[in-house]
Amino acid sequence: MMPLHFGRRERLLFGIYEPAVGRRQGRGVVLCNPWGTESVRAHRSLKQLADRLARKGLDVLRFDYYGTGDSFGDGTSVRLSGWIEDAESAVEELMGVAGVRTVSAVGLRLGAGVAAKVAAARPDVVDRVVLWEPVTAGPEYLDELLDGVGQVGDEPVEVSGFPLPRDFVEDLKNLDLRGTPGRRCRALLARAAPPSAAELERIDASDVAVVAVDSPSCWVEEADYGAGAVPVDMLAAIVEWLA
Amino acid sequence: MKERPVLFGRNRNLVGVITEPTDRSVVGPAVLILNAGIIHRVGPNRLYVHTARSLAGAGYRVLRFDLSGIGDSARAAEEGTLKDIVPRDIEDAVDLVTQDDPEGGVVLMGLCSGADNSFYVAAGDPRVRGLVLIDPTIPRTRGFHRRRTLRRLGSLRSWWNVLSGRSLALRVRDRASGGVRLPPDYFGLLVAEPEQAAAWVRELTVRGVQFLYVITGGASDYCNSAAQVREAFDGFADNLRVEWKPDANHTMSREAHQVWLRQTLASWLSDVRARVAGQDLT
Repeated sequence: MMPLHFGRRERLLFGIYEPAVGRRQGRGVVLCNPWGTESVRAHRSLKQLADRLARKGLDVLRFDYYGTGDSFGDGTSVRLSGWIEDAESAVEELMGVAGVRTVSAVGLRLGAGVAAKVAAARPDVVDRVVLWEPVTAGPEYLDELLDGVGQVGDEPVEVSGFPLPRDFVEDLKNLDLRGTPGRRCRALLARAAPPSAAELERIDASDVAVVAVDSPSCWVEEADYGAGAVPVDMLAAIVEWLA
Repeated sequence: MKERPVLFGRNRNLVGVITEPTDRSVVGPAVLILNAGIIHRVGPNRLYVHTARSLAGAGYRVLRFDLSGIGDSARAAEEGTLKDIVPRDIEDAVDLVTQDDPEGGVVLMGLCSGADNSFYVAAGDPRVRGLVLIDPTIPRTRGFHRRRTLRRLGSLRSWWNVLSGRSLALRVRDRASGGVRLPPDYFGLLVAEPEQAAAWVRELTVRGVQFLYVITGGASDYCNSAAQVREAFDGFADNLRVEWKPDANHTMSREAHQVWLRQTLASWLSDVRARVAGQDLT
C-alpha cells in the first residue's frame, strides 16, 4: 500500500495505491467515491474492495476528490466537473505508477456518474465501468440530501456537516449521463435490487451486465458506528466481474 | 501549511497524514489526533482535516492517523487485545510526530473513543503535555443523578410518563429484555475503572499535563453539567478547562461549531505551548 499525493500543484489530491499482489494482470482499477457523509461511511467497504482486487492481480488507486477526504481544498469548492477532472488525473496517475495501459473505473452512488463520465472521456484507456448503486437522477438525489435540511436559499447549506455549494447543487440538478460510459466500454450495474428495464436502457455501453445482490448499503450508517456495514457478497460479485 | 502522507509504525502498517507549517522552525507541542470510533482519519465531516490544517496554520505539527485495523491501516501483525495494540500504535505515532522536537512533547486529541484512548495512554507516556477530550467517557456522579432528577421533576413530559404508566412500562420492558453488557473495549473504547481514572488524573496533574474537555449535547446521556468533570475526578488543579457546548451535536457537524472548536484549540494550545516552553519534561 502506498499513500500518495498526485495531480496538479494547485489541485493536489490524496490517493492510496494498492499494488497488484501475486500474478499481475497488467490492468488497473480506479475507485470513485460518493459524496459527503456517504463517502466517510463507505470508506471501509471501498478499502476492502481495493484489497480484494489487488489480491486478484489488479493495480488499484483509491482517491479523494479535491475538497473532500484527505485531498487539499475545502468542501465549498466541489464541482462535478472538477471531480471528473480529478478522476481523469487518477487514471493517469495509476497508469504512471503501475505501468498499466487499461483501467477500469468503479463508482459508488454519485461516484458512479463520475466513473461513467471518465470512461466516456477516455475510451482509449477505460474499458470497463462498474456502476454501483448509481445516482442517475440528480434532482431526486438532491431531494434525498435536503430532506430535513430545507431548500437551498441564499445561505450556504450543510448536509451532515458537509457544505453543499450552490454550484454543486446546479451540477446535481443538471446531472446528465446520456451517452456514458460509451460504446467502447463494458458496464456492470451492481444493485441490491434488480434494476428496471428502463434503467438498463439508459446505460450506453458495448454490453451491460447486472449483479443484483441483496446486501447492506455501505454508505448508510450501521447502528451508530459512524460507518456502514461491509457488503461482502456485493464486493465478491464486483471483484469476480472485474477480475 | 503543507501535508504529507506517511506509512509508519514498527510494522509499517499505520497510515497517517502529517500537516505542518511551511516554516520548519516549528516548536512543540505537536498534536496527535486519534480516530473517532471506526471513522478513518479524516474524522466525521472532515472535522480532523480542518482542525489539523487550522492548527498547522497556527504553527503546530499535527499527525492524524488510523489505528491498526481502522481506516487504511492494516491489522497489527502481533496478536493482542486493544489494550496491547492501541497504546503501541499511539506510541509509534508520538515517536513520529515528535521526532524533530522531542522536548516539545505532544498533545493528544480525540473525539469519543479517540478521547478515551488519549486519556488511557497519557499516564504511561511522559511526552504527553496536554489532552483535548471531546465527549470522553465521564462517570455518572451523584451530581449527575441529582441534576437529572431535578430536571425531570420540572418536566411536564416526565410527569405525563409517570401518570400514564408509560414510564413503568418502559422500565419493565428494559428489565425483561435482559440487556447485554458489552466489555469496555467492545467498540474500541479503552475506558479505565473510575478509581483508576481518578488516580491517573492526579498523576497527570502533578506532571503538569493540561486538560481541555469539550462536552457537547451528544454526551447528555451521561454528562449534564460542566461541573461533572471535577465531580468525577477530584485531582485536578488549575490544569483543567471545560468547554460546555450543549447546542453542538456529538460530531460537531455544524460549521459554526467547528470554527469555534478551532479557535478554542488555538487559544488553549498557545497556553500549553507557553507552559511547555517553561518546563522540562519529567
